[in-house]
Amino acid sequence: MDARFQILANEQIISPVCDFTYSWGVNCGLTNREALRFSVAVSELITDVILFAFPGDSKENFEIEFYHTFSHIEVVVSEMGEPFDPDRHTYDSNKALDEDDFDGAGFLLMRSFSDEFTFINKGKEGKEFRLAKNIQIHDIDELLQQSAVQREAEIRDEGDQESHINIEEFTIDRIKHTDAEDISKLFYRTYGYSYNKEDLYLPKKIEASVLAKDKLGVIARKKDGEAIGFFSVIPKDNSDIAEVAEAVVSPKYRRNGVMSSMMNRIIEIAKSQELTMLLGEAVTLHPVSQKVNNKFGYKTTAIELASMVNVKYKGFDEDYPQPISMALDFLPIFQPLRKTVFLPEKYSEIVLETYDELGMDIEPKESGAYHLAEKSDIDLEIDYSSSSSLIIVKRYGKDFLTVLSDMVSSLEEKSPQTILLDLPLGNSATPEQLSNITSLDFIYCGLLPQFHFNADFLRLQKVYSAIDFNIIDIYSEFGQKIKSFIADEYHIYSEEKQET
Amino acid sequence: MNTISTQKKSKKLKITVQGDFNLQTKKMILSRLNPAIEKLVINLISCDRIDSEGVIFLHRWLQKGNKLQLIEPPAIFFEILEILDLDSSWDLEKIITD
Repeated sequence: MDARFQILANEQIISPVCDFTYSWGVNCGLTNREALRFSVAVSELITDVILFAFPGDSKENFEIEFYHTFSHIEVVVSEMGEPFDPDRHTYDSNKALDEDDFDGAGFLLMRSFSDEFTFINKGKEGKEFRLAKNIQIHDIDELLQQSAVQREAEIRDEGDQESHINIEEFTIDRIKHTDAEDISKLFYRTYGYSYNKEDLYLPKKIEASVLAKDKLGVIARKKDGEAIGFFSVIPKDNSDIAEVAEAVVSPKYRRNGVMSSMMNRIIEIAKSQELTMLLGEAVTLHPVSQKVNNKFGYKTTAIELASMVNVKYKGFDEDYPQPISMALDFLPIFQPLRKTVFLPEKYSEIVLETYDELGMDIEPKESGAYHLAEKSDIDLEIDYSSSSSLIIVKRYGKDFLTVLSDMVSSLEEKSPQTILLDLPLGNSATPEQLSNITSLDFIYCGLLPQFHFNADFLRLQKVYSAIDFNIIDIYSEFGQKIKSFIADEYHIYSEEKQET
Repeated sequence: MNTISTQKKSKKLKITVQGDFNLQTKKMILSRLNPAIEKLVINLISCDRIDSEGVIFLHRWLQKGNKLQLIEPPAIFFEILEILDLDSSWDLEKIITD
């Protein structure tokens, strides 16, 4: 996230926010004209929130967040004001001219001046509006528009030269912003333009990320200075764990121990930063990444079905006929102190085995006394690019089932690919609350150790596309056990649905 | 920051908009109007951004049979008129001046 503002619902803030949006949009790569149009869309959105969510002289606040990636920018407005639904306000120019009824004019402009306008009703958690705008990056577009033949030829030529080279000495150093160009080249040499994180082809983006200290990373170089490997992790916001972001070794220098040396150095860095776990997410359309994780002691603890849209990987050109599922592999760095966890009966065995795999010391209980708070505390994170959402339960309240059902219904109106639900295993209410939500059809996903607020969470998932488990390739024996556990539950729910 | 400066001359109100023409600007203008005023002359040379609140306010002003003169409105003003299908009801040649 680039910025987050808490804003008083007052018309005086419209201009400053629009000025910020304009400058930020230009900084992110929009043309002046596009940034101005997008800032008008933001002006419309804030105006509607002020007029309709907080009518009268309200002293309420709402939140506005600014995000950008390589290819687009987005503004997300969250508010807890009076209910209103944009879908019920459609502009009609005849009504405007004949009856002076301009209802929906603002929403029409929001849609006209952005590439995407989305509204999510989060039930008692309020409403969320999102405006997104694509960025035209001409230099990378031109590269990507080279004919496929030409690109393949370049990659083949490199492949011919990729016979294995033994090297005796190489260095591993923490990345600096001046390494950015070498990192981009390394990714191009390894993946062509098929790597799914486009930022890695833009040295300036890498430089900005290193300077902002978003990433902890190391770079491997030969004696002559040539970069031959890169490995980075991103510390998680709300927990002392870090996720592997990128790991690559130039093909011709593989089998020289470069990846092992980089991994060992990353573990040293992680220890010095007092991180407790590393998380590696591995695709399951092939076992290569999982094998690498397994070699370094990572344990598969969860499998997220249909987690990402299909992308083509160099060397894996055949079409994969379903969204890609991901294996979540964890590597404990420090064993956390023994903790009590409350395990729902139907998942108790598999979760206990997962703890055992990780070597974690826990005191399992099946239930315990608890008091429900008046209101639940639940976070909702939406990933619009993959049409998936994550619901994190922080506290159960008496309204838990209602709030969760409302949230799921609202998300389902937007045709999601998956909804993930994280339940806190340290909360004694989890076993009983889980049995109360069976009607929502969530199935097992796995165990997430230390994942939010340094506590363990049970992840459940709800999948909206047909899954063929035969083509989900899981490497480790225990990972396969998780897969068949999930498959059994998935098929039971699918059959029940067909019957009804 | 949005500001307006105004100058009243019998039935005419001259307004200079600095910044945006939005909900806040509209409210500021409304607070300086009175029933005797029949013509608005709005200088938009220093206004880069206008939104639907601004455009709809001006449209309603015209629909009431009042007179309007706009000096150098920003390009987005014309785009909004077109998107909202209001352009056909505006005599732009009369209203817009340099």
